Parts: sequence; structure tokens; C-alpha cells
Amino acid sequence: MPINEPETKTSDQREDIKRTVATLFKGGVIAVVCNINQALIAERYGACAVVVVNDHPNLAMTKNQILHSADPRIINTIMSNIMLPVIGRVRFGHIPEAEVMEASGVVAIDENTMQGASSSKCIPYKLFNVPVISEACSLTEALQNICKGAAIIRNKLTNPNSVPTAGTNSYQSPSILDAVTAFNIIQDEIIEKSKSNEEDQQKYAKESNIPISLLKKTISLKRLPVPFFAEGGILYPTDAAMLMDIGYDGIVLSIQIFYGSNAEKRMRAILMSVAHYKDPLTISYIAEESGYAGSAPSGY
Amino acid sequence: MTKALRIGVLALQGAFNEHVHALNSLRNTENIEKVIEVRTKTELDDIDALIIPGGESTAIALIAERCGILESLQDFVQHKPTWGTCAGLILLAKNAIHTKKGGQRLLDALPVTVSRNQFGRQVDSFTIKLDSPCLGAESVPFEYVFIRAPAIVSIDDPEVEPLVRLPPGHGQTEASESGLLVAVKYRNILGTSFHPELTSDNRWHRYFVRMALSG
Repeated sequence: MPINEPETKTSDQREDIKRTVATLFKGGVIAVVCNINQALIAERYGACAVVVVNDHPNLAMTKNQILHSADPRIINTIMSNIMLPVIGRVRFGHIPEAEVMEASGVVAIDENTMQGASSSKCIPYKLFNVPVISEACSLTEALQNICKGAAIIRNKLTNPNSVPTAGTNSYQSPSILDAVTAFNIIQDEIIEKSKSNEEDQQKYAKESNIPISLLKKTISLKRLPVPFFAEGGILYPTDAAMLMDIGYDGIVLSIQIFYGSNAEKRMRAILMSVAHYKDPLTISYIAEESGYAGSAPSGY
Repeated sequence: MTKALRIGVLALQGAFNEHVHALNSLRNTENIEKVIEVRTKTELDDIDALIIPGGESTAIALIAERCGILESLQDFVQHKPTWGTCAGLILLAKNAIHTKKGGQRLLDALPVTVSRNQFGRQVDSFTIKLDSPCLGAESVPFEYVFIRAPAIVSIDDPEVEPLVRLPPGHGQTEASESGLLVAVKYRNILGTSFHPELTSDNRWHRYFVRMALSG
């Protein structure tokens, strides 16, 4: 059972607070890190939060996103040394991992299937006092997770080559295809639902097991009713700008950024392009300045 | 008739969209010419009043510096109506404690000392309904939302006007009779450590718009 059960907050109020915590990450870049040095770089270059994952001896070699959630001692070291919000990543469905993260004092929990699913059911988001970031690659999945209490949705990485399995050397260059595809699929589905009649909407809500009010809200907003973040292969400023332009609320950087050449320069470029994605002249200046317009740099 | 207000929201990171939304909800009743997102000096030059939103203050300051807008911001906030909420309050302060190692860039405009994350660990957030006479004679309390909030620990100039205080007991480290200050006004500046943009009650936005129009 979760620790730190609040005595004074009502359930709805707590859900509201969790959702408002989530809005503060918008428009920003979240960096995935596995040690204090990476976290300090992230803070120095303007990230708005860090997701801490477990360090892995083969990390540099396989360029993998690791399996277990981070050691609480690493979480504590990072929290003591940076002011940024710290998010703990956990395996899909792994309730004890999530409880340990919450007890460590993280601002949010990030449930990730690429960490390796350890259950067929997601963690029960409403049982936690901190907001949970959940994944989706379809509208139904997104709305179901929001209904269960997810405060942020992130695109699911469905391409098995985006992130390889631990212990293997098979690795293809990551791309933002997953993020672009997920956004387009979900956006198209929202448009489709908005054009359907009342009866069909009711039917869809019933079959998907979501309240009709959530569907109506999504249709009237013409977007997901929570922040929607992109992840997967985001290593170039032009890619980051593109994802903001198509409508994502923010970016989660791949940890691979720390294992290529010139992480700081690259991170700085991406941060600038996310803030200025509406201005093509600025983007091209950033890309030219940083040298990362799209040609594959060494190490990738 | 006074000139209509051109009001901008600094849009480098954070909950800027919510502020834009709240301002747009006032267009029927207040004398607002336009509401824009501000990312560049050109956009900053084109407005009469600015809101610096909640978000991550180190991120906003760093990006502002990198974009070359920090100096323009420093000039703007010295003279033009500016409202900083949460991260924005930290940025406007002349002095901040409990900041990151090596300190952080501030806009140096509001003579107060701000403490980041006054209310304890990252996860301690709360809401509280308080009577707010500064918002007008209406009897309905305003619902204040504090998310990883900073607090004003000292006023460093007699001209700073306290507007809202929490009841004693919330987030104070020393026992004192009066509660923590969470909203202040100083000349052209309004500083609040709560997030009015995250509720549907737009009275604080109306307060700032009227302050900007009369200033």
C-alpha cells in the first residue's frame, strides 16, 4: 500500500493538484539521466525536470534504457544537488517500484513499457500522491489511462528498434517516427470522434470504458485534456522543433544524448529550438550554430 | 478613454498557455487590445504589460539568457507593469535563498527575499481558500493553489505592499504571529507565489489588468 497517505486532502482535490503539477512541465525539455553528472548538465542547460533511470554497466555500449528503477540513493543524491523536479521511472505495472519512488520524494512517476513490462496491468495511478506519466499510442489507450488518473501522456515507443533489449548489441539509429506517428494517430482519432454523432460517441465511450464527459472534453479541446509529451530518438534541434510544431506540449530527451559527442552543445541547441519552434529563422540559426541540422554525428 | 492594453505572457517554458487563456476570458469586460505569447525582444517591445508564468525558474532564466532576451526583460520589468507567478516571482526578486548551487539569474526588480520550495519537499502542494480584500468587496474567497511554491520570507523595502498572507502554521519554519506572505505589490510589479492561472477564477488576472491599465 502506498506510504504517506494524506489525511486532509480529499481524493478529487488530490487529483486536481496532481494535474496542476503536470502543467508546469509544459513547453519544456525533460532530460533522462542516470547519475548526478548528467543531472547537473541537464539543469545547467535549461531542462525543466529530469527522469532518473537506473545506471547499467552496459549502458554506453548498448545505448539502452535500463530495466529497473533507479537506486533511491541516486535519487536522493540528485535531489540534494539540483533544484529541478526529479521524476522516477518505473517498469510498467510495477507497484513496489512506484512506491519506492514515491517514498524517495520524487515529484512524479514515469511508467514506461520500454523498461520491460512486469505486469499486464498498469500501476493504479490514483493510489499515488504524485502525478504519473503514462504511455499511449492510440486515443482509446490515452483516454483510458487519463480516466485511471494519469496526469501526463507520453507516446509509447512501439518500434522495437527504437530502444534495443539489454545485453544485445543490436541497435538501429533512433528516430522520431514513433512520436510523430503516435501524435498523428491520436489527433486523427480525435477529429474522427468529433465528427461522429451522439449515438456513436456514447457507444465508443461505453465500449472503451471511459466517461462520456472525458470524450466530450477531448472533442471540445480538439486535443488530449492533459499535457502530451514526445519521447524517442530526439537528438536533433530540428526534430525537437518539429515535434513541438505538430502539437506536443514538451519533449523527453533520450539518455543517448549523454553518450554521443558534445552532449552539452546538443542539449543547448535542443532547448533553444523547443522555446523557439515557431520561428524557422531561429531554428536554422541554432542548427547551423550547433552543427546538428540532421547529419548523423559521430557516435550514432 | 485610456489606451487599450497590449499584454504579453513570457512563453519560454511553463504554464504560459493557461495565462493566455485566463487573459482572453477577460476580453469582454476589460479594455484589452491583444494578448500575445512573448519569446523575442520584438514581441516584448510590442506590449505594455507582461506576465511571467509558473514553470521552472532556472529553465526560464537560462533560456532567456541564451536567447538574448534577458537584458530586455531586465529593462522592461524596471518600468512596465509585470506580474510574476511562482517561478516568475523568483525571477523578479532581488534576492533568493535555497536556490541551486552557484545561485541563479534573477531580474532584480522586486525588493524581497524569496525562498524556493518553502513548503518543504517537492511533493508538498496544497490549496487553500482565503478571503482576499485586495480583489474587491466580493465575499467569495479565492482558492489559492500552491505547487512546489516559493514564499516571500522578507520584505526589503518599505514601499513593498503585502497583499495576501497565509494563516499562521502553513510552511513556516519559525513560530511567528503572522503567516507567510504570498502576494505583494511594489510600484509596477505584482508578485504572487500561487498559481491563479490554474483555476478558472480570473479575479487575479482582472486585478493585474486593471493595475496595468491604471499604471
